[in-house]
Amino acid sequence: MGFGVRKGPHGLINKVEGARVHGWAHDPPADGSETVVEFLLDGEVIDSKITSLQRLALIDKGYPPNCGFSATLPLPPGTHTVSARTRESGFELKNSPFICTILPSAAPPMSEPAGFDGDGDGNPAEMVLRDNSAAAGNGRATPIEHGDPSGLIAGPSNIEAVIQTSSGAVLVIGWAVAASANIKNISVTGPTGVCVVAGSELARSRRKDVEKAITGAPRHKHFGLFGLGQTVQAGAQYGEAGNLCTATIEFENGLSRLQKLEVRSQDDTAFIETALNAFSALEYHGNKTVESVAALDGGLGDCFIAIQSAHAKRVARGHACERFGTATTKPKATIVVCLYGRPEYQFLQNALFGLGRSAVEYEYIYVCNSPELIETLHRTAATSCRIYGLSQSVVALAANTGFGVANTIAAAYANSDRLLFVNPDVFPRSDAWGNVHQAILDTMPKEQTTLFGARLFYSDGSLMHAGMHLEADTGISIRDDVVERRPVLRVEHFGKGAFPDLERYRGARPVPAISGALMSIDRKWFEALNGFADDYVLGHYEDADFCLRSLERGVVPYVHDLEFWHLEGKGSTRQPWHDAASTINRWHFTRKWHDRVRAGFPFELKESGRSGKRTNGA
Amino acid sequence: MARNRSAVAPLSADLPVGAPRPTKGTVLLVSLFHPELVRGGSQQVCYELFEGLRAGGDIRPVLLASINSNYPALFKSGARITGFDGREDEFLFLSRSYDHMWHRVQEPLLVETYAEFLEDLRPDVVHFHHFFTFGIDFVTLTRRVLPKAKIVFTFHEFLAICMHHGHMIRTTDRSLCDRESQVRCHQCFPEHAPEDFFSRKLWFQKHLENVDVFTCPSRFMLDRYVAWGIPKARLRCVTNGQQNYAAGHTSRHSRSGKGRKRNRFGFFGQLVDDKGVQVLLRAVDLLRAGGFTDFRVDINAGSDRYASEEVRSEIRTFREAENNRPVAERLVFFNGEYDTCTLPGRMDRIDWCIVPSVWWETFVLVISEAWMFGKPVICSNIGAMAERVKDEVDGLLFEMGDAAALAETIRRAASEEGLWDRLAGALPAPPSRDDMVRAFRDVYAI
Repeated sequence: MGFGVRKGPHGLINKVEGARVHGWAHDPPADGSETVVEFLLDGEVIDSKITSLQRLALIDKGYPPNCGFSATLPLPPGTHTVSARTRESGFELKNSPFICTILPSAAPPMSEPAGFDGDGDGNPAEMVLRDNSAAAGNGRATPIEHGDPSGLIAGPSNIEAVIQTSSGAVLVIGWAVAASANIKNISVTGPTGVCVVAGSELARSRRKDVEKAITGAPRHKHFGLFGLGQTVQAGAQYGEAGNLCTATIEFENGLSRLQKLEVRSQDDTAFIETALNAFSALEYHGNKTVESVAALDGGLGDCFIAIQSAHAKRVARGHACERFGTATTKPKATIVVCLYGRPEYQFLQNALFGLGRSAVEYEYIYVCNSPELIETLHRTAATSCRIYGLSQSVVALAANTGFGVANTIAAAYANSDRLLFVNPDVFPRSDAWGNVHQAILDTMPKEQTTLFGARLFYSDGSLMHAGMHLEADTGISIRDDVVERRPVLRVEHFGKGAFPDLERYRGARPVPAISGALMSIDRKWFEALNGFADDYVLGHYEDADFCLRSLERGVVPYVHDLEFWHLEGKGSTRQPWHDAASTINRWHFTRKWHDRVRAGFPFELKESGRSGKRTNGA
Repeated sequence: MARNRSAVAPLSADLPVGAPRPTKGTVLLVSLFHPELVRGGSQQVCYELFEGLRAGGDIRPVLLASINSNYPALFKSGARITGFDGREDEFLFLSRSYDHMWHRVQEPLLVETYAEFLEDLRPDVVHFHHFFTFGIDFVTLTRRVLPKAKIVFTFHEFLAICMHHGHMIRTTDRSLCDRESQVRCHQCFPEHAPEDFFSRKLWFQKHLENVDVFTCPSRFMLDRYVAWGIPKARLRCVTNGQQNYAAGHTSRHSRSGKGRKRNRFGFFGQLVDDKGVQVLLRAVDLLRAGGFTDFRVDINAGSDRYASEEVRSEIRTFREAENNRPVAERLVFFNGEYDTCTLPGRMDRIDWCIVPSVWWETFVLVISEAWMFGKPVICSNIGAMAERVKDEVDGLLFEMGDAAALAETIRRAASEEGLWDRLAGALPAPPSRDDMVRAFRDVYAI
């Protein structure tokens, strides 16, 4: 829903009941953060509140959707004259000052009266504080009393967004001035499903806006909330956008906060992108990489993987393959290319591979993770068949399944015993690439050709890849007064940026891993390892993962004297969410392989990276 | 597949009575546009060659000229190649879905139709005069369909090298560019990564590997392509030749004879930035401001719609101011577009031809045309212009883009006694159409 933001300051007090005050305000600071309302007693600020509650009726009047507030003021029993103003410009809200009468046993209401909506007197998305422990006996929540003698407190909090998919995945974003340990869970209840995210599964992030707005908030804490979950009811679906849900933050001390807010619905692809974007945008105190990895530990990382994996499986089931040209009879190898975002690499590769000597003895399969490109790819395949005489197949996917899943699907259509996985931005340096590749297969020992890669070169002529090695870094994460050492694996290329003709990178060389930019794999071995792993999000680290699985089963990856250009990072359109996917995959890769990498691999490397350090995967 | 182009008359078809029967083979000339539909140097040269080969009688030339959306009236539903205006052996390639970055058509049926055209015609030589509107990959397709045919490619500018209209002018400051590189091209087009230009070069060179002989109309241009990577052994310099439009023409306004004023200057070409008409107009302003007005300039050019907004505005402002002057005070006259028929009349009205181009140029047909009519040329001192015009011998050079230098050259040309006679007396004969045809027949070797 679009809205034109009206200039502030505006706002009013809608309702006062005891210590509870409801209203709305719009007076945002220049930095774009939310409006903050301050409450004053005898000229002293006694509380402040970030406007964040939905006030749907105000949207049509040009205000942002979350300009409402609801506060329980810290007032002792008695009658008090309280004023409310915006922090930004000191604008005093309409109906301020107002009287608060606090009875010795007054309690906030469970919900607001009917018709409490609009800019005059309503608020459908309100927050209620209650004590769940009191309801344990009868299953009903009982309102707690302000100033409860038990001394229960819960800092301010807000669920800012709930996004869900038709397949039941739910994303919750918000903030709470409480440590992770103090949040038991967040539940989202909609018309047909319930999603519960445990507090331990939440990513906590830095929220500068909250730090700025909450007077007296603890320093160096992570107030942001980011959670992924799944509706527990099988097949349950939230309704269309515009439906309301109830989001509840349940604290470990028994308190809970309820909010009603609008649910945004997205399809799986958009949801995954949104979730990854939001995760990528999280800020932390300390090192972002380390803290991002730490944030995935509690279950969030697994949830990301599960959602993407389930999505990819659904998409994979609906793929279609179209062949162009006469199938090559027993091709020497099948070149499999996964395209994403940039269709031109298909015809560039068709020309640059296809015009090489013996190129027509190879078979080409393009698998496309960008459904909007399929028509273009079909046209190019038809044209290339005529111009270059290439036998080419195009495997179409209805959404982005990621590198591993797409390549594994495509490989199933191969008619050869040798799979050559090639990135779109890889081109042969020589017309004889096909002959050289075949000569390696014909002359090298089988143990050196089951899985091998090539020397790759940047377009500037320097070496880009002569195998990969793995390094284990250690980072420091500071959370909830605990300092943790966190291992993070790093994948590096041998010879990256080196002189192109360094002798130490020539010849047949065993390496811990080879780049997925070009991998030549015996098809039986590829299938024996069940192809590329499908538990990585979109792309990155599947190549190293495959190599390490291969190593585990005794087949060492090699780099041979086969030379290709690699315009690294240019073969696809990099989107913001890819950064988050990389982080998740790095976390996952570290979790799977850290100990194995530290233990080392059972072979001697001839040479290592440019530093000269002999690296054996650790 | 269904036929969707005009049938190509087989070589054995009956020829008009008395017409010589071609015996030495067929040459397919692939032309960017048809010169009667879209004016331009490359198509003009290609058509001169077509007519010259046909006049020879022993080779059958077939012209395949492209048109694009500029000529929607000539597009026929479902057709991709058609005849042209009832003319024998002249065909139109109806280009569409053209990718201007990678220079390829994205329509498979266009590719298929061209391949069928080749299969039906089976030419001995396919001579590309451009790839634009066809696609650079048509060279490879030609090789695939006709493995034994000779493929000849004539470069008419630097489009294979330079994405900036093939002019090798930097977009950053419009300075001249003398070499391409990934980073330099990226600087001109920051929206493209350096690697895009690396890929572009690989793409072009891979297709051009299928060419047997490349030709350029000037040595300067040939050197550029050698530096870019075309093997020198496959490059030949073949001059652009034209019919002599001055043949049989008698000047109605002859001003021959020593002592006559030589103060009439002409610009022939297009009102686009790179042709430099703005430099000429600025020179006129400088001369007028300096009190020198004993000269006139004829601008023989059509619309300014392809000029940049800045240059278009400059031209229009100048023109408006000029038109507001009393006729007797006007120095510049805008005569509109010209063609070969009106060329004699336009040339009659001038003494000097000015070529103030601010790009390299690759041949400049206007120089030949000026020489046909005995007019010395004043031109920028770079590229093909400097190669053809010898300063102080048969023409005058001035510093490219320098309006003051051009103004001084105009003043001198208009006032220095004996200069015009000396230079006009040394003009070389412009390359003729027959010269060009002979040279290309030698390249074809059929």
